[in-house]
Amino acid sequence: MSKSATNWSEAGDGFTQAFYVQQQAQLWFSEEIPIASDAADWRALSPAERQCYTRVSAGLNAMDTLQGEVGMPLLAAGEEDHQRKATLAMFAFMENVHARSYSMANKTFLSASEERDAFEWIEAQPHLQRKITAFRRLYEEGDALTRMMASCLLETALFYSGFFYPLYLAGQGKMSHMGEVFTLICADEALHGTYVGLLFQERFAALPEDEQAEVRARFEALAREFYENECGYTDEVYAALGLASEVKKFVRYNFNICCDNLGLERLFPDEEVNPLVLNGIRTTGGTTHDFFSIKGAGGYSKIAVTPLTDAAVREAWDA
Amino acid sequence: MILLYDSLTGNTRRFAEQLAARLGLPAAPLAAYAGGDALLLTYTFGRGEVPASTRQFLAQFAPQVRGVVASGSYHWGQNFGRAGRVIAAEWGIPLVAIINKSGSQADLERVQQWIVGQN
Ligand SMILES: Cc1cc2nc3c(=O)[nH]c(=O)nc-3n(C[C@H](O)[C@H](O)[C@H](O)COP(=O)(O)O)c2cc1C
Ligand SMILES: [Fe+2]
Ligand SMILES: [Fe+2]
Repeated sequence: MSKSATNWSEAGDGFTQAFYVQQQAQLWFSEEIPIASDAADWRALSPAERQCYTRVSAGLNAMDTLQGEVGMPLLAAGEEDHQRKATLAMFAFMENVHARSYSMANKTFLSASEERDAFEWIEAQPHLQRKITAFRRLYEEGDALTRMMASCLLETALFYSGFFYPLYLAGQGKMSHMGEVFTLICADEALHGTYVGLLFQERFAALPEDEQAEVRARFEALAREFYENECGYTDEVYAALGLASEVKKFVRYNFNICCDNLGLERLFPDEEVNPLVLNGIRTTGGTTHDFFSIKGAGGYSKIAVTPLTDAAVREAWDA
Repeated sequence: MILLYDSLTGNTRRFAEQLAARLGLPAAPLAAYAGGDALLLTYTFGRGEVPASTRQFLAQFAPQVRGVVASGSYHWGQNFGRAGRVIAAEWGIPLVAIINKSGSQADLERVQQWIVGQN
């Protein structure tokens, strides 16, 4: 175990500080968003719509829990550098914030028995269980490169079958405060996927060509297997709403982004994403430019955090 | 015309290299710039910002830059690819395209046509 302290005045690898600073600037807690203001919208949804919303949230909760308890902590343990460990530990912290926000939503919108049903549904849903079991095993038994690949795949591709519906509703002005929560989670996951992808690229580049080819093939097999799994999940969760094919398109789109993060060839042809989903992201947040006051749009009450100035971000980036 | 890129995680570089292969033009990182007309390809960072390295480059060479392509990711909503809009506004450089991550075939097509139209 290391006996030295973290020195943030050293540039380190030249990029980690910028990711740390960005996560800090994006820091949020579910209590800051008045999700109870969505109660009228919730009641106006049909039972099938409410069930879909509840189930995708429950599935995401299970995966964020895995990411916070196993994925990110193991990635942090696998790095030597203090700054990298601190950055990944902060990501792990945010995964738990994400998981908690799903629980808060349950408490706000569901009865105790509906909440119990949602948790029971997670335990019985075969695609979800298959995904959780497989990724837990990849984390626990895989080497550092495999863990990075798994983490990136989970966060930048496999979360998106779940993200679709809340963003799609938010894009229509429904469940907007929850939409804001999902947008904040999306921005966190985008940051995590980019960072972990960069760590992957660094290790990958250091491999001899034959090993690179082996890793590339392994990624592709894993990605295809879990794309199929995602399609099965999507069919079950979205069939009643007639949205399955739109969701799969969005999932493929994000699989390609995962490939970009890892610096590997994209797996699917280009497609346009449902504009309502993009509208959901645009209208409920993502304005990192003014990250602190946009939360105020919905009556956000800020926890005392000093907003970073552009100069501070630039300074960290220059380092 | 040279395709000059600034890239942290490789997306902008990959887009520039694909474009270079299509057009038979040179692609190079900012540090290799040796003068002449350039298309600048960069990305969005921080809170919708222009990377400091790109700013430094523009402070010196903006007059040679004919157009800008900015990468970003759609997750950042209103700030998606904002660096391209900032560069267009601050330096008066035409914004050619905003691309998501390493861009699509349609993006390549569009930027290719813009370059061909410059000659
Ligand atoms: C710390 C950080 C902040 C980012 N902020 C934004 C942003 O505000 N807007 C945006 O569109 N993309 C943002 N991005 C995404 C990048 O611009 C995108 O991944 C781009 O493709 C990176 O280009 P590169 O791979 O050439 O470095 C951010 C990425 C990181 C790591
Ligand atoms: Fe998360
Ligand atoms: Fe994450």
